[in-house]
Amino acid sequence: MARASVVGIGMTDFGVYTKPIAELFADAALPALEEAGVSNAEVDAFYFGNVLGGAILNETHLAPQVASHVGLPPGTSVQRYEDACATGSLALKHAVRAVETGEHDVVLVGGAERCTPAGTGIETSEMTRIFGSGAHRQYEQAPGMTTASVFALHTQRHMHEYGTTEEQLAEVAVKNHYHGSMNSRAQFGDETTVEEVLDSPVIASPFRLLDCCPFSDGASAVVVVSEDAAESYGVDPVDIAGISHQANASPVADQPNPPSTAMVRRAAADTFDQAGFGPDEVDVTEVHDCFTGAEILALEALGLVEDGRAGPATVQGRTRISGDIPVNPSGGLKAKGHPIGATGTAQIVELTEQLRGESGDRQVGEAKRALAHNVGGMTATAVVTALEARP
Amino acid sequence: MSNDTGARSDATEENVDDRLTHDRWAAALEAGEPLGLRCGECGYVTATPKAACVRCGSRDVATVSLPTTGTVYTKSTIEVAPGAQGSGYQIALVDLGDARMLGRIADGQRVDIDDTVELADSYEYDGDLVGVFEPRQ
Ligand SMILES: [Zn+2]
Repeated sequence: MARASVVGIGMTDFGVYTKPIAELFADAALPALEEAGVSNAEVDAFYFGNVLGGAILNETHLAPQVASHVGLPPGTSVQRYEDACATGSLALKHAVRAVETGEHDVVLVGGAERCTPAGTGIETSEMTRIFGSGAHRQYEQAPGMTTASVFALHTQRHMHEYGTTEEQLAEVAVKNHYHGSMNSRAQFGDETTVEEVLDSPVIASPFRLLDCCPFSDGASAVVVVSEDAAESYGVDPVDIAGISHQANASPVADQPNPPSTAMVRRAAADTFDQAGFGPDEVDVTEVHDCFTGAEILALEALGLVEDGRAGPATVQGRTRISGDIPVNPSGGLKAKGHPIGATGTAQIVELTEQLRGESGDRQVGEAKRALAHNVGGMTATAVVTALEARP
Repeated sequence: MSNDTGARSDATEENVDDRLTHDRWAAALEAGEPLGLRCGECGYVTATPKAACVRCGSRDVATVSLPTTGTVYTKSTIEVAPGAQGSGYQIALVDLGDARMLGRIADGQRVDIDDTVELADSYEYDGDLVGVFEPRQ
């Protein structure tokens, strides 16, 4: 028995935008509502993800503003969510719970972000400082830890324990750029090579520029309804079979031995338990590859490959669309882009299309079960979601 | 280090005042005498102040003194950072006895996993104090 169903999806191309946040979100939300055949008056609640509006645009409390722009009437229950890069999935978790409990019948959930240096005029080092606000001020930011370097700390230890190499990390980027080259919405449409990755400048060792996802602007939205009501919306519903949100200690020094990402392991176990299937039965997965090493950690923590084997599995092509464990057919955060508050629901957009068989050149064959993995902050939050096509 | 910061195993009324605050932790770090907390319930030792045990939630946490020599658990060299942090510096998770601390490696020095390092200095960023480690000579 599913917890809720997705009956409408929408997202913008990811890239650089200068338009107001509300206009950007409308470009994702209105198509999602139209696809679902839901009128604005039918939307009971709107859960909106945005992370850096306060720091970058001097805009907080965005939910009423965005709801008003897209024409959700007064009386709609609106709320903004912020949980770093896991924001969109956290908003989704609450949407699932709201329809599952019967509190609401129809929930619009999504996110929008404007956080590119090019679109905001904020230089890269200052944007790096702002992105670092997800870190513990006293015990992570002060020593100089950045978003890239927390994943770098995990990845260096993974390399030490398992012999994972920089070439294997680069293969993650090559694979995700290849997938992104088939996705018209991706910020990076070009393929890359292991040599290009290894020749790019170091950001936080072992990560080089091409190991890192870009700064991105964009928006995504999904319409969530109860499982029972889903058939009445006139599209093929995709069921949310499980969703679990788990936290890890902050600061990272108090997390159980990196690179374990213990919160992902707990979330995956809980999600698979809800869904009634396991990692071996997943046909397609979107993971939070903010850095190449993050995809390596994710594959292992989700149980898709054994601990220590994600590097070789990537080199062998097992995580390509044509492989036995296709990962990030969208291009992932690495190539598709990472407008942080929009990322969680953008993963759901991609997987919904995959389960409907609408993904064109990057369609994974016979995709019936899907998994999304979204990580927030300094490896302190994870949301794992299981999706299932109806027979 | 004053004697009363040694291992106390009970969280009685009277040692609520003994709670390890950020200010006290930073002053001790600046003096080269790092402090942590040991949990009386599960034994977990943390290198930074908390109001209760981060592993088990127990409030039975006692301030303990941490060693100044430790082992590098993992590290990264950072080239792109907030402007005021500079660039080309290294950070490391350092195991100090049973506790793990995120520290900064002294400018110009490089450490590797399993290297022995010593607390050599402290560093201030935006009003907050950080332990600076050097490879043991
Ligand atoms: Zn404890």
